[in-house]
Amino acid sequence: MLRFVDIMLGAGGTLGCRRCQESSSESLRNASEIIADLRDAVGAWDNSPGPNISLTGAEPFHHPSIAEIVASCVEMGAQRIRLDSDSSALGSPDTAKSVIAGGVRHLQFTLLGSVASIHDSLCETPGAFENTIRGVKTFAESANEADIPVQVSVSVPVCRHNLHDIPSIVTTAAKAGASLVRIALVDGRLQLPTAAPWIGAACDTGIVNATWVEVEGMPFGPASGWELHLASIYRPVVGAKTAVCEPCALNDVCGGATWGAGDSVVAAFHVPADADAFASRVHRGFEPPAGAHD
Amino acid sequence: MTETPLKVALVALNQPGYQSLALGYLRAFAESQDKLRKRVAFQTLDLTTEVDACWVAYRILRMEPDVVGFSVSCWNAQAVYAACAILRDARPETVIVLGGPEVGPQAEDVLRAHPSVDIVVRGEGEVTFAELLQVLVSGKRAWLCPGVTARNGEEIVSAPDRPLVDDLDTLPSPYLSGVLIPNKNLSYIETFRGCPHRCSYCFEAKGTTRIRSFSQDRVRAEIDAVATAPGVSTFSFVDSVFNLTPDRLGWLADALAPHARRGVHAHTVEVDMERIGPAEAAELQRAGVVSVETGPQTIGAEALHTSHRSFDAERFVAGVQALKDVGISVECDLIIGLPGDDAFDVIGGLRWLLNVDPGVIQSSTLRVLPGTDLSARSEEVGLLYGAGSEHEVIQTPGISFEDMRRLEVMAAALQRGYRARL
Repeated sequence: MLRFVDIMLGAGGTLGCRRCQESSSESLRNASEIIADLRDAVGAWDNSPGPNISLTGAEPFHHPSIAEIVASCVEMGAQRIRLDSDSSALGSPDTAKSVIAGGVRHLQFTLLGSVASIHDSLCETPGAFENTIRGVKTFAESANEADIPVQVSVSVPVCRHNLHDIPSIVTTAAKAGASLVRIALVDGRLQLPTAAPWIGAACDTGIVNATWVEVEGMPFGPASGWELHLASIYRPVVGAKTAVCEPCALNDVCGGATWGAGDSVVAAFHVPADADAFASRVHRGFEPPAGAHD
Repeated sequence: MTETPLKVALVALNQPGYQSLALGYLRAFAESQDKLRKRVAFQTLDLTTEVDACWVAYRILRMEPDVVGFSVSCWNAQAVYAACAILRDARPETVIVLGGPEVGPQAEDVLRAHPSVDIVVRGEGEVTFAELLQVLVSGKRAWLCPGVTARNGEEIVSAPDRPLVDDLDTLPSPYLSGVLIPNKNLSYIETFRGCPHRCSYCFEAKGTTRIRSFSQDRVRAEIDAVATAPGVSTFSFVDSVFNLTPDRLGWLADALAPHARRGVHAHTVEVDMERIGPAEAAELQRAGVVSVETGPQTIGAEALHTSHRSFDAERFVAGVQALKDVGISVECDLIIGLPGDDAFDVIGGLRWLLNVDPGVIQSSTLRVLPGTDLSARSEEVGLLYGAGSEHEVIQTPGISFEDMRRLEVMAAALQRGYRARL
């Protein structure tokens, strides 16, 4: 529900499973372009809480002007600044403190596996897991020492290679201090009905660890019983749906299947019997109270 | 020969740093009673819920009390009961008396469930407790004292209710009498009792919308005493509605303004948001109020109806904006699990409050408190809640057990993200 706008620092710096996709070299945009984007984003911000800026697309600490970019966010009136980072640079307490002092209040990092052997293997970067966890913990401890509220969140791109590990990834994220885990199904060849129990287990693991798990790329059908975890409940999906799903009663509230999902995957879905009533309840969650001016 | 005074230990298990205002009132009133003078000696013990029951008992037993009085709320009840059980075994002759919102409305049940407890004081405690002490001093039967539920052998007997105190000024101020020393930044002042609202989940109104006020002179004197105490830079009020009437808000602002100018502020006062406009916000600012707490608790139409709450979204937003315009921080509260709400009403409430952007959003799970309308109607409205003293709702007709836990975790993550800002 808390909206962030992505400002791209570059491209190719996103951590992903190298068995699913080839590594691409990182390219960085120049600071003036980024700051121009920032200005546009802040200027176009609606009346929801914010502006909230997520600096993403490339590793922020690889950008030579990251301090200047963060300072620009603050100067333009950003309320929340999030770094989408592997966090390894934050292992130094001095760096963590200066990042917080500079105005960063949200840190998002990516986990591909719950332990070093899985994570490092999938991203093909030895030592990445330990460096990330160390950086995240140092960031959280530095904020705690300064009595500054921050939020740590984890992004988990789910593919065939880490599907069975995602409940454990949630535990690792919770131990690292994350209050929010975003699971995104990124592998169109995942058999979603088969994947659903693992994703449901990850959601349950989050509940018992007091860490919220939000799922993208999962339609309502296979998520029966744990629909509240689906991102579509919290963010309108109209116009964002992938083409593979047939229109159904949940059409304008459901985010649909993962990009690239095939007909065979979709065919295994069933539309819930009470889909109309459910869609109407989801709609109600988006409606302002009577008498309020939206 | 000099009579040995009855030794009374008044004990509260508070949140860390706080001292019990309720026990302050009890002691100040009892000490003002001629009939108890030199016949009763008091000691007050403010501990925290974090202290192990064994050490609570140790501290009390070191006083060798004849009577122990505990102030009991839902959040400290289990700790109190645990301490009582140890006290009963270690010093059987000590009379154990409980009072407070957790035990008063269910006095007989409490005595049945906790053999270590001798007496429960129901309702407003000052006069009843003082009279009970007179009864104990003179060796009479406690269960004849109005407002008391006590044991008569194997039987549990409730004396008739005691009427509420008409003139609150007859209750000495805990601060002005010296019973309570203002606690650094954690002191509370009470300017009236009662609540104009009858929200079904709340015990504040105690079944009536009657408001009883302390006099302006008394309130002014208390404000001066607390605000000028060494080390105090902020304090608060326990009043259910700080902006009860414009006139009242005006004289409170008059009383508080000189202290505000010295940098002593009031924090976290509860307000009716729909009755705040620019003029009221300006008065709160003049009073040095730095933060307020308010509802809406829910925005779901059915839950509002079931809870006997009114809600005007447009005026609520205008109130929040008026306060933000004068730099007053606003905390908005939501309750998860009110009957009539389903999960999407709760999500809708969170979403709407985010867009109102008050500054702080705080959600909590419904507690079905003893003595409330919801407690009386819990079966009718289908609430399942914990049998213990926490009274936290387990599930409702609209929200399953699992979804209740999901909403709690989701809301906590959302609130954390919302607070993490510049």
